[in-house]
Amino acid sequence: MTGTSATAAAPATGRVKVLVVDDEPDLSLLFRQRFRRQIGAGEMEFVFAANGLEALRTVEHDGDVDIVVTDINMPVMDGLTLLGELKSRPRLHRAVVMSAYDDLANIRAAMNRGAFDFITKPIDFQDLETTLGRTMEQVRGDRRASEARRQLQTLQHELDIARTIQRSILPDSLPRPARPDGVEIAGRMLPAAAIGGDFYDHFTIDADRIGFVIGDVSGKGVAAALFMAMTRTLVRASGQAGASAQSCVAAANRMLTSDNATTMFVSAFYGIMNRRTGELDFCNAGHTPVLVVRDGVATPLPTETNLVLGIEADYPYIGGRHQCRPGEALVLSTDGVTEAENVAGEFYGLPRLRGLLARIDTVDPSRILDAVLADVRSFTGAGQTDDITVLALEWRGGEGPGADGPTALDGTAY
Amino acid sequence: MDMTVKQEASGTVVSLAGRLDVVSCEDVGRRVEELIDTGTRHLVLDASDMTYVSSAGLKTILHAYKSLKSRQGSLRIVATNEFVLQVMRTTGFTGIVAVFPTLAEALASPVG
Repeated sequence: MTGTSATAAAPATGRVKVLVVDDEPDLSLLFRQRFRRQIGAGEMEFVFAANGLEALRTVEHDGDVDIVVTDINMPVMDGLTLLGELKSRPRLHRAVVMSAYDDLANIRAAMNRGAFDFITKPIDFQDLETTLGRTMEQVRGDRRASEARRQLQTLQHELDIARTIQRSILPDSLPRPARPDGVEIAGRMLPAAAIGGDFYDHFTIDADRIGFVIGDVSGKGVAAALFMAMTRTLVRASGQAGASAQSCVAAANRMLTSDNATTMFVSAFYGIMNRRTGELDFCNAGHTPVLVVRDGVATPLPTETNLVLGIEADYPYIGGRHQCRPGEALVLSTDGVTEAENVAGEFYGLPRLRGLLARIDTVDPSRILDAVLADVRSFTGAGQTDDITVLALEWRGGEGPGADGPTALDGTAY
Repeated sequence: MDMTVKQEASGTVVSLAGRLDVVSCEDVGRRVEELIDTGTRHLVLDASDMTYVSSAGLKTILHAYKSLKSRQGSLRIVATNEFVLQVMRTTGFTGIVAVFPTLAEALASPVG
């Protein structure tokens, strides 16, 4: 009797629900008769109300009315009042008013209250069909717009989560009193809008040794952020337990590979610095070269080429050693630095980074970060497509006289 | 990014010219997967005219490598561009995938 059985199987996204509000009881029969093809095809569904108040109840009860076709003069609540009430509802309803052809004042009033269109009475069903067709197009457009908005919000939400994960795993660089000896580390990351998956970390292993790591996950979004958090946790866990750089990296790789259904991978450089002796034990898993800055020259630290993490569970990672000299700095970065592109499509590149580090001639970590990030930014201009991360570490030499030094600005003194 | 596919006696040659980055890798990945799904087991990726590869691009190559390996197949890469070679060396890809300087050498090398 209500016609709902014909519309029950209709695709939920395509069907448009029309509420017809009129105090003439015959109208429902006319509408059903006239639109029986659309009802049968599941394109339209009709519900009816005898006045404005009843219409509002139906709108609230059903919750899925798209179009309201309403008469203006009705008992209890008229059509203009109904339009005003509909406007205050959160759901968007497209309204079509029915009015006597010479009732211009009411038609104008209805349009001013947000009606989408109007038809004149007595009803010309040909015109009604055209008008409803146009209104349905509008409703479908509204739906597409709201779906796009929803997707955008989901994406935004995903990026917010990824950004929160990424930020939460970076170490706090609390300024501590620097000492004339030992190690100072400073790191900074400029996240790209889409979250590129960079991270860095540093921590105390024991009285003499400090662990530090920089990494870059292939991929973006929440999955990349979680993979990055996992990598950082695994490196920290075996690093703080005192494992050598090589076995720490191999252990992290094994765990990352066994859980990895996504062919995601991460390049990473893990180093263990002895603050007393200046000895560096490291393992480079497919990461961009690390630069050693000394006497105004920046040279790549010779490393074995190892595979990035997360691909082959039993890959034989090979570590390396380096003896730091007092007043020497190590500069670690991600490819967000070397592959930063300018408007001409050129890369910032390793030679430019080496040239800059030679030119600024400082081993102070904070000053190195400032200089590198400023230079990359002036090279690329406004655009940044990938995370840009720099970690710098200075070894000041073994135990010195022990006098209080300056405070490490935004670095951490070990 | 241009992609062409050619059948040779010792494998299917997929030639990629241009940038293999986050934009182009999706299409390339899908088409390579189709080749593997329809029976390709020995793939030669001719990257002679590739000018750039991003980590997303590497992921696509890695996916093909893993997929072929799990089906007892093989992946050979031809690379001459200095940047592309450097990325493959830095990330250790050259340690797990055979890289050749010319297509002729790649095709002449024994598979498996």
